[in-house]
Amino acid sequence: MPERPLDPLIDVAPAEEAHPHVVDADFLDRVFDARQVLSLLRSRPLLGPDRMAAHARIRFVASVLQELPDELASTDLLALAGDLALEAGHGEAVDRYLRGAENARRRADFVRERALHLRACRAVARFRGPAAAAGFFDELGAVDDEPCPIDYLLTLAEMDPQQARVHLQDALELLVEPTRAHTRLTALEDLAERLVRGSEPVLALQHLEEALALATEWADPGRIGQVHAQVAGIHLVAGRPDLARPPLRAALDGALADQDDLLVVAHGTLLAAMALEDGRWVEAETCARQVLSAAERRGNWIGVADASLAWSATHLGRDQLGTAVAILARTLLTLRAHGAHAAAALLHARLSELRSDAGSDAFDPVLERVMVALRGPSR
Amino acid sequence: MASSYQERRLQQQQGPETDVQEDARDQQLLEGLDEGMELAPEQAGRVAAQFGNAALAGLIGSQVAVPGSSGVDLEEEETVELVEELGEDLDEAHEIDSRSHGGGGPAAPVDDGNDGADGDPWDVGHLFGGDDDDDDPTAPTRTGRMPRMPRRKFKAPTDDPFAEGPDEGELQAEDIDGVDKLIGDTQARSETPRYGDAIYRAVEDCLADPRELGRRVLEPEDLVGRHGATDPVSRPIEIGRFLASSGHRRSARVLGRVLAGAGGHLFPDSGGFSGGVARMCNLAVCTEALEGGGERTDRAVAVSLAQDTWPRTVSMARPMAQQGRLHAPDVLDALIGGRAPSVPARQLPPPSVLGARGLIQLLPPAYVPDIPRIDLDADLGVVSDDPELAELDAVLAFFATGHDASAEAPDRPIPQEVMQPALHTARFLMNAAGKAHVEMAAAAFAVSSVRPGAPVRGPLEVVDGALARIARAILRAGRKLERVVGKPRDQTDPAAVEAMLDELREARQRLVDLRHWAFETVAGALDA
Repeated sequence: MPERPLDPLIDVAPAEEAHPHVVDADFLDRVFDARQVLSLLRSRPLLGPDRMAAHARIRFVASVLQELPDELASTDLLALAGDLALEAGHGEAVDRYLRGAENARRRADFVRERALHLRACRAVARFRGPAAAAGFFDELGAVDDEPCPIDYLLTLAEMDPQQARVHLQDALELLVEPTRAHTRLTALEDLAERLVRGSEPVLALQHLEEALALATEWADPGRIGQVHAQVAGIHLVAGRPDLARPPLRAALDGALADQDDLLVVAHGTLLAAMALEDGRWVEAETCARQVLSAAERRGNWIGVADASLAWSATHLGRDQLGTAVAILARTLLTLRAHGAHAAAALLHARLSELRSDAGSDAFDPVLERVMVALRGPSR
Repeated sequence: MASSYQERRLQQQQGPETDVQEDARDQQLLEGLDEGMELAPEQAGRVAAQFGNAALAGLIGSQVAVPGSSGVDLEEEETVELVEELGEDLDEAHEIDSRSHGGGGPAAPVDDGNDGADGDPWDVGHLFGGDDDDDDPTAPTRTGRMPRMPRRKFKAPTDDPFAEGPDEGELQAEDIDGVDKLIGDTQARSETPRYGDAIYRAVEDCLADPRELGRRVLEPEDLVGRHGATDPVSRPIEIGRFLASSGHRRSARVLGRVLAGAGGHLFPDSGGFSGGVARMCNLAVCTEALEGGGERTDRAVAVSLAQDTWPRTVSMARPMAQQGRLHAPDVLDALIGGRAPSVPARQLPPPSVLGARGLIQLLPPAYVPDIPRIDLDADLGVVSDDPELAELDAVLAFFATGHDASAEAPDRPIPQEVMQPALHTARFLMNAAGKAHVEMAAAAFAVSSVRPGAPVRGPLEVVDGALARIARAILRAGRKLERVVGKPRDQTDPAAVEAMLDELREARQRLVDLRHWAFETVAGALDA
């Protein structure tokens, strides 16, 4: 049978100072610390600073468990590691849950085993669709007096999208323990998504309000930004950009604080478009320049082209044709230098639009001057 | 009584000699089936090649009388069903069917474009007395159609507000050339190493020509009625829509939904048309990046945009289906114009979940019917538990309707209508299996169009064999169920009927699982 691939979060090496078969003060300290950390992991939800610290904490406990195996601790650790992966959308979640279930079975802890099997099933359904998990779910089956009602309902919601709303609402009624606040937050977001798909945006917004409160309570800027983005998306699709702006602004601020370039590009692009629409040139310029830097760092050349188009539009709005053309021309040359011709084509098209709008007599001398400045007088 | 299938075979024996030999083999094979013979794999393959429109489905159909089937060839019905499912229009299907076999009566006259001068006694021209009216331009032709009248030519009014004139908003060549002169023209993209988000290139297919990316004046109408995978507005929208419904990450789904649904807000006047296009394309890249997965995700997105693969595959598969030679690998070869690259079965590519979702999106919704439960006593009315009441009901029924209670005797034969739901489902299932050949070929073709040279034939070969086995199982179960019709009720064990239905259920489940596996594996060839 092929060996299971190592999990970088769980299958870590023991501490460097570890010495097999030697029980010394260091060993005892490590065990004591691991117990403290594990208790912290068990008692706090995976939100805010605890979520940020969870990876390091799990790795530390896992390294001590190499020295002093404990199946109960391993089971809990694997469950938490699975939760982390599930919420990040990583496929390792399934493997972690199944390993945890295996540990629980060895300890004859059938309730934990079932809970982890249900979570694994949920993860399979989430990543590969309900059809892929159907056999697994049938095997688990429904039992009288369900010992893991929350996990069962959440799995059911994933398996049966038509009834997901009902199952999620039922699960939310049971999800009251603070240790599972992250699960509650995810369930609220899931429910809001279902409601949006079911054309019930008002109800969705109500649930997102609660999600926002929860994420704020546990001081999780990432999740706060995520909820804000969802709220803004609902307003934008519903044709209410004025209502979308504040949550989008909050999402962008969160992304800037987290230095998450991808989210800066995504949120900043939308915000810049709204500012341009309203003629708020300074705000649009600020957003565009933030997007430009972030997109460049990401290697998103179309994002770079878009940001410079937005930036140049702010100058056009202030009757500064020369500056607008200079921004476009300079970015165009940069993009060509990177071989990003698709992105360059967008700028080329914009320059042509401006030429068409201003007329060749007004436009050509401007572009000519800009090109001379950019290429140097020798060209 | 000779079955309609046999009658048709006799008619077909008047064809070319090779066809006769081939038909004789098929006949022998299918007659063997009638005698309860098990199918060898190669025979099953041969039979499976025809399901959907041919002998296999016909075999079930010929033994399964369908309401309204009197005098109608069942194979013909199967053909019509499959052809309809494949998007065929009804007229064309009728033409095919009426050309091939008539359903017990003389063939109806077919207007095949000829003038009917072949001496057909039923031709309308003969009945109307020949050439007497040749000079009359309004006289009916010999085929009964009214003659073509000289068409009055309407001159389009010059002030027609709906007339399509030159697109005044389009960028003119002089606008592009004027910029080209100063900055040089935008070259087609050369292959340079990509890194970061530049690996998400699916959206770039619509950014090749600057002329298509700009408008002289941005009008609201410029955003309406756009479609097609190379349109600079609809392509990013399609990417957003796909990831909104199929993305794994919530952030990708949320942004995808915005991209698909908030187009108008992304086109402020001050940025021009090109600014709006850039914004949408940028958001498409961001959506892919939020989904993560790098080039795998990008290829899955690209495959979801190969929208013309289904109609092209259907038109390629149609003649094959009509000839009873429908095999997914052959359809693919015909589409590609050569033998598609393949790998051995043990080296099939690992699955791609997102790619599979992209492929499924290209196809019309699939219907694999559920197997119904059968109540062998469904023909009996509700009988009261009270024997006296039951007796009274029977007497009243006899006087009121002439209904004879003896018909409810324990040895009464099981009527057709009791088994009909199951038999009908078996036919649908067989059609679904036939259609799966076309679906898989379309999926593989889509993958090949995104990544030429992808080893897509291997999975199709596996699917071809598996579908043959599934067809054999459906056939076996269908025939067993068909034999139940007319058997005395007291000699029919409900558990045995349930076991037959279970066989059908198992075949159905295998078909569902096979489709699921095949889409993921074919999509996996994108990354192989």
